[in-house]
Amino acid sequence: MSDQAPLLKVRDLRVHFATEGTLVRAVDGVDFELRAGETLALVGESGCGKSTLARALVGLNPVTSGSAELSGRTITGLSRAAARPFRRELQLVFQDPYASLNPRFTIAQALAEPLLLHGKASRSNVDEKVCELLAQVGLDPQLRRRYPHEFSGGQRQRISIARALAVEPRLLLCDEVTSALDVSIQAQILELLRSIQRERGLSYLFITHDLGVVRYIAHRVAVMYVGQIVELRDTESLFESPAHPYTQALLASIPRVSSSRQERLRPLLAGEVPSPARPPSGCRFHPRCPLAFDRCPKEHPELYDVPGGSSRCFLNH
Amino acid sequence: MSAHPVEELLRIRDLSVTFSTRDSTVRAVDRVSFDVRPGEVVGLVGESGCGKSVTSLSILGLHERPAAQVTGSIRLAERELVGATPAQLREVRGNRVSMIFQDPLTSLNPYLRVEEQLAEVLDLHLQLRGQPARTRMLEILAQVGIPGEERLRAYPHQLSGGMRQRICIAMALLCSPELLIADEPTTMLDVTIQAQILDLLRSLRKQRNMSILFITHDLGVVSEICDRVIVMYAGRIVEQARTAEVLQAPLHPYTEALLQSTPRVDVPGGGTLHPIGGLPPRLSAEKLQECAFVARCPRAREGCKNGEPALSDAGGERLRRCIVPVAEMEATRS
Repeated sequence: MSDQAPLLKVRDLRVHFATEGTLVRAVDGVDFELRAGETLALVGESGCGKSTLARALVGLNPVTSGSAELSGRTITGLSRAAARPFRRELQLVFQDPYASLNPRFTIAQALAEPLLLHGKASRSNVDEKVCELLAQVGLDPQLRRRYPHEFSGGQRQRISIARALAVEPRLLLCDEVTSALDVSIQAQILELLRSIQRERGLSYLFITHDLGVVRYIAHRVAVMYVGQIVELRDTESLFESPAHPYTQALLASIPRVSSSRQERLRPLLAGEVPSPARPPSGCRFHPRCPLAFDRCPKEHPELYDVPGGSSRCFLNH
Repeated sequence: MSAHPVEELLRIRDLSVTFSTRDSTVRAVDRVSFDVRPGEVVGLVGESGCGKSVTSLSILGLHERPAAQVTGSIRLAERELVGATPAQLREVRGNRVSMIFQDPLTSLNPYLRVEEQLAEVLDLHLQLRGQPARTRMLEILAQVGIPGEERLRAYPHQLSGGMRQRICIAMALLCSPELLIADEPTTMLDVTIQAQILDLLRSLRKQRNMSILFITHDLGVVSEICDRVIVMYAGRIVEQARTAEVLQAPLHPYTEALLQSTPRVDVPGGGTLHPIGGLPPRLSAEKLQECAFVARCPRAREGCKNGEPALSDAGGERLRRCIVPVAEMEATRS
């Protein structure tokens, strides 16, 4: 990764929903940058806002305030027509490939549609392009006349990836793309994504709750808690010396294959994630934080510099 | 586990489960045998379709007949469950064996308050009603970490995922079963909540000397809670040993491959991944003419095609279904 201008620049992005008289601050002031060829993992527990953030970036959720720029051009707050040219550059891949593929389309049809729509192929060479794409994601092009239900989960995820790649995007938003897969198949998909990145210099915004996967695939990691980034670090810095107490608790909660079982001491995080409709005062983590002190419920911490990134905790100030 | 020789609580021998559909027959579980001792936590591990859930559902007789044919023997403390009448099974379910599932929301009735769901169990199984029932409910809720009466009045949708799973565990414990079958009980939960539930199950097992058959695909979870592990592949057991042995020195190439394809949170760069190529075989009712894993096995050799290897003794209490010499696997362990 070079020091070139970032591919994606997100500034103070907020996505708020009004439901039954309450305001849900699903994403509440998020800043980050993503460089070309880089993988940034977005991690956090259910309801932390990671998926909402990704959906907002591709226009599936309305942005309340703040902005996102792709190569210096604003992509948020645009009309459908104005957003169209950017749609191609940002593709979203979901957890369940079966839900994102039309069951009535053969694989060839599913891949031909975006190719033709975005002018990446013509009627005369579309079949050739489809075969190329399938070969690239490790599927036999001979199978292109088959329907989604004839493929396994891992194969379907390869098809979804091929479909996203069809329009030659610069950024892939991967939302729990391996969560529904068995580990042996997950490993295949992770390797595929890595090799595609090497070949095409693609950037990934990789959303997952699996921190093992994060350590394997990501260059940097953003940890989210109740709509905000609480820690943003180089991957190895984060795993070797997590700065924020929430990240520390998250890492400690993961069952490890190598641990001596059972009596292992582990700082258990009590309680549950608060609702983004009623975020706690001050630091949002303070009600569950084992290290909280008198300042934490009163003031809202900034992101402070720590080695390899930043952390939103007064103890890191 | 107690040191003196114990009677096993659950004894499964040659269990096969075959499903017949209009145009095919699938043998989901193929001659599976294992024991669970009192107070022991046994992990049943493997990937989708390996037969781990089908095995566990057989214990409670939850397969639909005649679509599923269950053969072999499942003995729970001297009582045969294969071929038991519905009345006999009802006597076992809940009272002696309880089950919790992956998705607590689908195992709770959305129309009933927590209180009503728990009351039904107490009424049907223990004929407890009124104040004694209420006392028992509060007692059990406190044990699963839900204090106070407030939650009794809640509907399932008003509770978080972790709280719902605690309610399911409470329901399963109401009649003090000797065996708890837990089918991926933490898979849908966030890691911090998963850690809480695993801790809860561990302490309950200790307090009650309850056995747990723990079904999971997550080897990290296995290392946290299981005494012994049974690894299943394509409907059969391929390896069985104490947890630390299986995880640190697997003796079946499938177990080895499973470990090597899991990204490691505790190793820089997540470790090196060796994906398992290909897919598991189709599970027909015909006898296999080769090892079920041969097509995907990095250690496969000529002999692997000459009939399916038997599940054989590998020393200690270890079993493995593989012809690759143990010494060879140990010498080339990465």
